[in-house]
Amino acid sequence: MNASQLQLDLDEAETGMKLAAAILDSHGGTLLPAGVELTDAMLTSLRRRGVDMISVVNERVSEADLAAERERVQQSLTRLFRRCGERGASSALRQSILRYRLGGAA
Amino acid sequence: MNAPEAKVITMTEVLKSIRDLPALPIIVIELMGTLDQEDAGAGMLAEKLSRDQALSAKVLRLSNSSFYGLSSKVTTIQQAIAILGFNSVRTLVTTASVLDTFASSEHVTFNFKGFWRHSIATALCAKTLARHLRLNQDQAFIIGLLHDIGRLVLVTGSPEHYASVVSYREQNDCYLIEAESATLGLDHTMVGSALAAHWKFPVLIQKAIANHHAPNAADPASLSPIVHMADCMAHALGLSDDESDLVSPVLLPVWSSMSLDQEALDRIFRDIEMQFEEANKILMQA
Repeated sequence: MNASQLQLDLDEAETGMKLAAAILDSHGGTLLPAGVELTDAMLTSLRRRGVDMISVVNERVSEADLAAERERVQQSLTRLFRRCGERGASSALRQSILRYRLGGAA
Repeated sequence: MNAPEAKVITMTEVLKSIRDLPALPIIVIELMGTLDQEDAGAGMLAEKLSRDQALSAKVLRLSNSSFYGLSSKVTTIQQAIAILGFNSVRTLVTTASVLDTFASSEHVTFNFKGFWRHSIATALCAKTLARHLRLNQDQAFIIGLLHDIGRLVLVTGSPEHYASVVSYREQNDCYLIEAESATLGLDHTMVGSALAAHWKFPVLIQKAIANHHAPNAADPASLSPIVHMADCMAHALGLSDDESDLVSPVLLPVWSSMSLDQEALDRIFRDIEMQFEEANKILMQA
């Protein structure tokens, strides 16, 4: 997850929230695409399908929150990758996780 | 590195530890024999499984979790097989049984919780990657789950020896596999492969466990490249929740052979994180 997203239990989701990521079924098919605003009907349908976690756009994120999140993610990756060196495929994996965690803020 | 306190273990001792492990349920041994067949004996599975209430209950809980995202609730094993397919249910039964086999294991310093979190995370990563690369998802899941299983043989069969491994790793902040080689003179990959052979798991699984640290990128169907990548990803996503966790170096030929762009990786990471905590919770319930 990244700072501009919130991962919520479906029970905490409300109508009007915007999906930060597409919701997929077990075959990788898209049930709802990213960017959709949730409606009551959608929430009911997701509940029926057994979906229990979704990620929505975090509207209340501040610049300071983003900076703190960037710092936290960087530190955690530095710790996990401390024996991998700075180059090659390990570094490519590290970069891709950084971009995934920070989204547009990477 | 500090000089290891050598406590060499021989393969003969390993094989004895393997023979001393509790046996896997017969149903799993029968199922693993059919792993390269599609929909082999669904009727047999349903009938035998319905006699094992604890195992059935766990399979049903998993079937109804976000892991599969079904639109209606599954209440019987027959239904689970009809809806999820024989192959998925076979994977669930195998997973639940392997976990039960080691459920009561104890050790002074080995982190079992972190071990299982990492194994389940690797299984999920392998399954997700296999879906993306159009390879066998169920086999990938099982190999991911079992890739480090040799560690449990060493931990339970030679607890004092393994305490030296853990302490060597802590002193040197190195990979556990390096600590195993330095201390024991062998590592978990060969032990895991020997266990898979003892359990009569297919040769594909035995080899993929043996090779997950040194896979052949040119042979994706062996599934060892997928499990290597899944292992690295599970560490990199921090899913084991273990402060001392270390990402294994990603092998460049494997990374390149998968041609994963950021969009694909985002989807893969997100799928894994959405399913992991719930799958872990259900599988770790006794």
